[in-house]
Amino acid sequence: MNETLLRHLVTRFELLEPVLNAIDAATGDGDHGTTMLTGLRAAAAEPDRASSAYRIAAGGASGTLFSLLIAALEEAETEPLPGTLANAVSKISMMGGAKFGDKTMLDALVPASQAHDARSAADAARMGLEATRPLAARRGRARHVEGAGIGHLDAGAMSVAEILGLFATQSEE
Amino acid sequence: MKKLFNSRSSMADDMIAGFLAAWPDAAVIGKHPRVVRRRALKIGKVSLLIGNGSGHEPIAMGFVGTGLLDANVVGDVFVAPSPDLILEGIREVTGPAGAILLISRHEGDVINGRTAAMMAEDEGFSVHPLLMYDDISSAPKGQEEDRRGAAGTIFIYKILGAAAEAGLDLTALAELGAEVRDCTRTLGAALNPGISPLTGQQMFSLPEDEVFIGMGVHGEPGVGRRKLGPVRELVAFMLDALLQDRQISPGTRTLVLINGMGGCTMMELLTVFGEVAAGLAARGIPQTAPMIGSFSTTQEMAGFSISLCTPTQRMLDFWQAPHGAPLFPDLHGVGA
Repeated sequence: MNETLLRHLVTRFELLEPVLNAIDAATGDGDHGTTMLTGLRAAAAEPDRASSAYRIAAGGASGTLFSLLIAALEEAETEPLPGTLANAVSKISMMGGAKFGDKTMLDALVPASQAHDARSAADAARMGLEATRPLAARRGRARHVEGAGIGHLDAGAMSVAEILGLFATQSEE
Repeated sequence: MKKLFNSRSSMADDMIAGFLAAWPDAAVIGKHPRVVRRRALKIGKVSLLIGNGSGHEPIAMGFVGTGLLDANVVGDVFVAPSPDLILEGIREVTGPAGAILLISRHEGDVINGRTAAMMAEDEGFSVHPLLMYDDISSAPKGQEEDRRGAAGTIFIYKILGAAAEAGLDLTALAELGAEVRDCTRTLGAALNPGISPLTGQQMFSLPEDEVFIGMGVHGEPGVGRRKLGPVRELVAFMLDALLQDRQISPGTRTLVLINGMGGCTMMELLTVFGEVAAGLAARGIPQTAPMIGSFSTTQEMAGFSISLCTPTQRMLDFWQAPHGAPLFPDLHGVGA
């Protein structure tokens, strides 16, 4: 995978780590930012096998699910992005059992997969992220929490929006 | 709050080193340093293994040994190990008879366990992922498959471990595991939070005079709060909820597991058990071979759970069969 993009992702998530941890702490165990950064650093260290390096280093559910998004970005080097995202969406829903509207990473990823290019995918993901705020979580630890995260953004959806935003910027350069 | 560790990043590895140093005859490290496996594998046997985040000991590493787990794949604190790591565990202990991969139903464990099982199938292994769920507070009656795995999963570990040792094949073990799961229910209550080793912070907050009913194993707050009165009243409330969820007829022999979450004393746990046993006796339900102690823990969280299982005679024999796991109690001959 493109080394420059991976380096940019690491830099961006170094800044986002405490923000994502704080959002995650409202409903989960408060480590989403740390997990993302751990995985992205491992991917940047091994760009030829970025998605599996990400999965092994990050661990947890998000390690496996986000590695499918990284794999979609790897595939996007040879085929158009929204199509590779659609592929990731179907795998992530199958493995995680979640669907659009459950307040998960899919709320950003599903609209992005229906866009027509990298920039509109990033915009769609950002709008999907904003729409997670009023939702009640139906998957993950958040659904066991009092209030189910209503009023909070979903940390996973935020990571998707950030990753696709950087991908779009990179592909425009 | 103080905690003993060298560094946050070495917690799981330092703990594994201590375990192996203590019981080198029971367990050894596999090719991967996070795979703890039984020293002497039994040829021709179906393997039984589980991957899970650490921080809940003695489950599951302490249950590795003859007649119980063949391997435990140890993740970081509260983080499910990656599918790649679970696959290492499957490779380490699985032969032609195949393996049962136990999965306590939590999102990360389910996703990574199922992915690992698929990867193993691609390599030619026969692996049956067995989902375990028993916590009645995590989804309503009728939606049992959406429930979390809690301490009642211990019945599955032990009964399948003994059954695999006795030579049952993969299909029979998968059926037996589902049978044990379907006759087991658990409900927990938490008094005080533990400290997350990841953040150094309390995992939740609770007024001085209240308990949470239905606390998760990672400190997920419960579904309902109650004022904490005499333990008799709390146990009566919990036992009613368990028996409403799954009725047990008078005369049905029942196994009781009282699990401490890390911060309850044996004095407290025995008191709880006494109230459970009295409540069952008042309903004409006999109990036998109980397991009482802190087995599935959440650091120093103060709390406990009550698990009830109504075993067949065959399950009961496997429950009490001798085993070689260092941190599982010896139930052989107890309550017979």
